[in-house]
Amino acid sequence: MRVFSRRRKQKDFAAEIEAHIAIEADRLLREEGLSTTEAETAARLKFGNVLQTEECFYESQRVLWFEDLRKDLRYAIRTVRQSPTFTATVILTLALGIGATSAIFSVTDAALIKPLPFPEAQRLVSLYERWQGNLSSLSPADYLDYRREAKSFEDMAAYRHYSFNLGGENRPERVLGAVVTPNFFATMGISPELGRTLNPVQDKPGGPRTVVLSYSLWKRRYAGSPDVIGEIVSLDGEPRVVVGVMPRHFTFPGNAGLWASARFQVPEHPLRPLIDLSTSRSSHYFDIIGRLKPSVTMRQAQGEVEVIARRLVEQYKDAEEGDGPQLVSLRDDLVGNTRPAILILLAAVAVLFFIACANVTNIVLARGTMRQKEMAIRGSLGAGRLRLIRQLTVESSFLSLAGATLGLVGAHYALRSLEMLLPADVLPPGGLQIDFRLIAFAIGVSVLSTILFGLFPAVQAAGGDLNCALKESSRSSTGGAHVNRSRKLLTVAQVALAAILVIGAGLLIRSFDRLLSMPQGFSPEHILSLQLSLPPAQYGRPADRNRFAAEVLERIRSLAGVRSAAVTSRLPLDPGGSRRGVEIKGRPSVPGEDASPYYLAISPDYFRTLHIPILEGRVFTDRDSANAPGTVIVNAAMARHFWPKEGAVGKYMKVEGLDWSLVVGVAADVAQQGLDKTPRPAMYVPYAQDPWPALVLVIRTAMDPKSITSSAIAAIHQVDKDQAVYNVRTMNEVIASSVQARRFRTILLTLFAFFALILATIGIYGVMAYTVAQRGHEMAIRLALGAQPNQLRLSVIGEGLRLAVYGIAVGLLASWGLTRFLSGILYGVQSTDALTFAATILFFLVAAFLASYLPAHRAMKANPVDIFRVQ
Amino acid sequence: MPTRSQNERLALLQGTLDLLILRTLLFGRQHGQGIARFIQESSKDELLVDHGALYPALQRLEEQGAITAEWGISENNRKARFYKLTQKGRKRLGEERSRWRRIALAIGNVLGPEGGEV
Repeated sequence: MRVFSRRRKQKDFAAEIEAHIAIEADRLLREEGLSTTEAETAARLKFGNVLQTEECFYESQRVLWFEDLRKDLRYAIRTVRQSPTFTATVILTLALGIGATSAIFSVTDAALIKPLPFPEAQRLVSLYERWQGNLSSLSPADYLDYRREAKSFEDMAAYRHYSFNLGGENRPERVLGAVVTPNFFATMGISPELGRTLNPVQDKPGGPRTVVLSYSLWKRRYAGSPDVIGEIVSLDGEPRVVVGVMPRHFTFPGNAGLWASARFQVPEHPLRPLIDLSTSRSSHYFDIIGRLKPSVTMRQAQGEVEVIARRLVEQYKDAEEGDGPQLVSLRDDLVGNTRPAILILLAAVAVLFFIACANVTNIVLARGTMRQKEMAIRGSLGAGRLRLIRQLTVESSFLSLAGATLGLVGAHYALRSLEMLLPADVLPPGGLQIDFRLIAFAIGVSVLSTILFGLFPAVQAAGGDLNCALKESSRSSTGGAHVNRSRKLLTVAQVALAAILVIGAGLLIRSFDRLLSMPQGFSPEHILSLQLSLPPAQYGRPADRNRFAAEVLERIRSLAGVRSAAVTSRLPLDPGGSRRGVEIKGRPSVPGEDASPYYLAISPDYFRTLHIPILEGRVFTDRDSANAPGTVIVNAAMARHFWPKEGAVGKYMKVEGLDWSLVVGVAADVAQQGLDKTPRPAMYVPYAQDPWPALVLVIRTAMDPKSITSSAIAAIHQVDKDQAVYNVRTMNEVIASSVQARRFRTILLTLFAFFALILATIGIYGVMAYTVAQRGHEMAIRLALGAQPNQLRLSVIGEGLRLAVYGIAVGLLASWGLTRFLSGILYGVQSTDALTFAATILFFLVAAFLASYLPAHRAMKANPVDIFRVQ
Repeated sequence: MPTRSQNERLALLQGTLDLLILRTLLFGRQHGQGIARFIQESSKDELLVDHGALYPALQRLEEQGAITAEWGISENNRKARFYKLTQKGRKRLGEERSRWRRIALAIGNVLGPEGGEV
């Protein structure tokens, strides 16, 4: 419509109306014999409201466009009210599509899209060492070398996660935090909220011990008082000066509550906090963050550190270097593990969205066909084709906006449930939020859906030839063949897409099942685990820690219902853990070989408590005490690696930091790093010979392990009333949390597949119900002529199954090509798993059968006479 | 703002009024008053042309190129704006006429035979 161009002047139009009245007055004067004035008045009266006509003219030039829109909207609301079932179906289908899309978007957004809250975060990189296909920490000496030599970096800092006992006896509290080198904050590029951060001048190694607080800790524990600067607090029993408070958004690494300055050039080792390990090339216990210079790319920096690494290997022949350094952008480092999974979920949700749109398009198409006569009549009464298309578009925009609104409300609640399902490390602090951009996204999505499902039927309906529409209204029984074909194509596409989702979900379910049935290497039933941490101030000497552990174990063992109890430095299925360099007597080290097995300190009853089989030799006993000759037990993987032929028992080896020890036994492999990881070489030493301050108590009970929780904690407090006990979990809970991320995406994809299957079934049902309604006349004739109802029913069901078969065929072919993108997150299952594919075919055939049986059945029950009457 | 009832009448008349105007102009050029008069007389006073609809309709047809207009002098020496059918308008009249006949037939079919109302 023309909004701005005015072809004729208003004045010209007014003149024409004046002329009209004058001519009319002439006529009245002549034919009816009125006087001049009378004639003029009569003519004016007859014409009606001159002003209004002029106004009308004006509007036709200007306001009509807006006025039409208002009318369209009113009309749309009326139409929508008249058919509540149609409206509800469309809005709910869309709400499902938009809701799911928006919810997954905000997860993706939180993990992948939102920038990290650090200045120029794209220049922040983590530096690791490649080691047996994993990334591992660097050793202190290597870090110092890289830091000194690498020219690609503005700065490089080291940090180690640590959980501190804050406050001493008054209000003891466990606070997660980090021990950092003084340049840590400069590297991150963050300024303090209050006071100062650490810096290399004021916080030199050996200088006064300082600490920086997080905003939330400051607000909570110190009531946000500025006086906290300069205050002395007790950290693990050691006095420290508070020098600063960080801004609210800064909690890196993890959810840190405070940052303590390092004692040496590198963060101190958790076990030997007083020993300077700056020259060690075999300890690996802290992480490294670097800031690239503005002009340097990741690739250039990676090239440089590799050159340095080669030089280091040459210089220190016996250095254990792993497989070379690896730079990882901080973003990838933080969200790396979940990235492929999240992208797959995003793809799944897009597919679900398209299925929902296809469904809506189908419903609207069916209605469009029914409304073709209405459109034809409106067209013949002067409504332009564009005008009709616009009216239909207004109608569908109205529906999709309603769907978007409902979807957003749904997404809000979905996010709350997702938070419970999501692994905690993916969640942003403060949880998942529906923010402004999500609303913008939902509106964008609904605009897209308007185009997708609104315009297509609009063109179909408005383009419908009048002739054709009117003819169809008379006596045809088939017809609308063109529209029908598009609807069937849409249904086939829907089934194909849904089949892809179902296959993907099936593969994940199968992997999950396989994973849970993998040998764990221990028996998780009836096991309770509790975590403890012995602060160096009270338990500075190994003997103190030993005494504590021995006393606690003795008290626990005497509790009713306890079968056995032990301590370990790390639970199975708890990834990470420390590694230590080893030296094997009589075996020269192989260059490039990994000689740093995982390292665990355990008490004698550990294997008995967890039911870990001993394959050779013996377990530790109380005689393997602190003063006894060193002993070590290795796992099967380590025995195979270092003593492939000769057997491990009876051989001598030296663990870094300990004396030469005798291998006394070989234990079966345990899924230490995760159910989906092949067990790596690992060694156990007696806790008494290396009393680790962070320890886990494992208790095997005769009954429900949870039931002894309070008596176990009470027993610990009898030994030390200030000891904080945390992470109290049964072993089954430990297993569950180790597969949490996997379970999350399996559940999510299964939900998508379920909805997709439902939507596709509704799609088939819709098409078949429509076809049956259209063929009602033909069927009535056939029945009247003596056709068997069963035959007709079969022909309808056959048609529905045919649609499904086409869809399944396309879906399976596509899946064949697509599922290999899933292979990264599958476990123990081929991406073309025959069982999954077969089950999917079966699912869809059953669904298609049900979806076409109902309309067929209904058609057969109808009385032919009624059908003739309708026509 | 026009009232709602007028608006609805406009929408209903729009298509038919165009047709009637084109038909009238088939006899030669005519001004607005003459067109209204002719429709009224030839429909035996059944159709009363609303002038509020007539002029916008003329305006629309002119913009669509179905008719052209120019100022001229009427039979009683009045200045008037005369409308004339174009080639395009002539063609459209043919189409619209057969279209209308079909619709009339169709609506007749829908309404059913005389006296068949519920």
